[in-house]
Amino acid sequence: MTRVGEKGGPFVVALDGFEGPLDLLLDLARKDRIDLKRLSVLRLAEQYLAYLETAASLRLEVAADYLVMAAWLAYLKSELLLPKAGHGAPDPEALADDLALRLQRLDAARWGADWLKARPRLAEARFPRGMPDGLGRERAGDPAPDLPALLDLYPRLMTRRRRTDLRLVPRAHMTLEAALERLARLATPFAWRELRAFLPPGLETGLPERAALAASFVAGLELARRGAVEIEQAAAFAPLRLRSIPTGEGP
Amino acid sequence: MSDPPPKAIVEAMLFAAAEPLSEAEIQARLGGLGEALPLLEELRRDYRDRGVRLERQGRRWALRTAPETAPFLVRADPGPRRLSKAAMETLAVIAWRQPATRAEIEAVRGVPVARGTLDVLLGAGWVRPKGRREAPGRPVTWVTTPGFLDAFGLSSLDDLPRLDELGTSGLFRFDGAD
Repeated sequence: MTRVGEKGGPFVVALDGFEGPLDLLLDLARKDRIDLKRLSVLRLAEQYLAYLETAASLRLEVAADYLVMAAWLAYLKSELLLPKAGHGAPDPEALADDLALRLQRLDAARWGADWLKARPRLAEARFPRGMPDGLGRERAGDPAPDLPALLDLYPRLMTRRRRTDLRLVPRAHMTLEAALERLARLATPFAWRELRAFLPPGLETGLPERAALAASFVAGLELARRGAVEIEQAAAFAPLRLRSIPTGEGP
Repeated sequence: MSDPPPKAIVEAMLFAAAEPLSEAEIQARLGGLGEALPLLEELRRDYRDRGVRLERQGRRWALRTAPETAPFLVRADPGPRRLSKAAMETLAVIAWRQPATRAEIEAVRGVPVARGTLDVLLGAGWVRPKGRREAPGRPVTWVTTPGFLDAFGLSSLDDLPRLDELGTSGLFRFDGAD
């Protein structure tokens, strides 16, 4: 990084037109004719850091992304150079492979974009008839649907609607306080229980039940933040399960 | 008055049409006078060496000038807007990977997809949203349209070269880590 202007000039990294760190990395890898499948992250990291050092002009908001990547590459480089520590950190080889795969993907996307660009385009290299009349219809059909126009129109219609008074009807749904109290009282350290099992019995299905579940979920998060309970979920959309952490052993 | 030959009827439809015509529509207009598909194939052969070609785009057909005559077809008005690198790469990811979510496009390109980028592609009529993926956040998925095939002179999505041939097998396949 170079400072420009001795008297407190702006701090800028010059990245002539590179669209993000990945873009720059791919360019460096290509310049070096690196086989992306046998990418040397060490070499790439050195080139990248050297590039950032010589970069002469600057824009701070763009620089942030590049600095994050620089820090990450420097970390990865040190991990690759050091003997395996085995301290549970992510495997550096796997991280390097992941970076190589990401660069291959970007390279493939760019290749695809160039391939499309080289196609004989309509209205550039191939032309439709100049004065099409369209095929007649005996009965005028529905107007042709036009998705962009529709998307454009909808918000305007919605904002044009007359303003109405908003009245909030108080509802007798389970409150967050009630849910907090209930969860804290009922959770046990010994067994995982589904979040639903904590709802009070006899709830009406539909909105009251959903409101109680939502309140209990937020209450669960709050208790987990306080270190009072643990929450687990096996997979996306799987039931949430919850148990309390015995006092004194909490993290 | 006797009916004109079915091939002539199909040719006239294609000539008059403002947009590519589907096989189904041609068949519906032709009625019992003939089978649309063999007639279309025959017409395509007839046009092979002419300045106008009959192009197939999936199940739709359109008459288009031959690409090699383009230098002689001077247009007074400027052609379509040049697309940015971001827009072309985004289009490429959608084309090869479809249905693709915004997050997947960003994962490939390593930078956020600007709001205007998808708007440009949507406005050109080349991509459209197609439902949502059953994943956290239920993200909208994007696919290409028949207009995309027409714009780039593709018969179908199978015309896109397989990226595997470049030795980049499985590049746009994502696993759970993404």
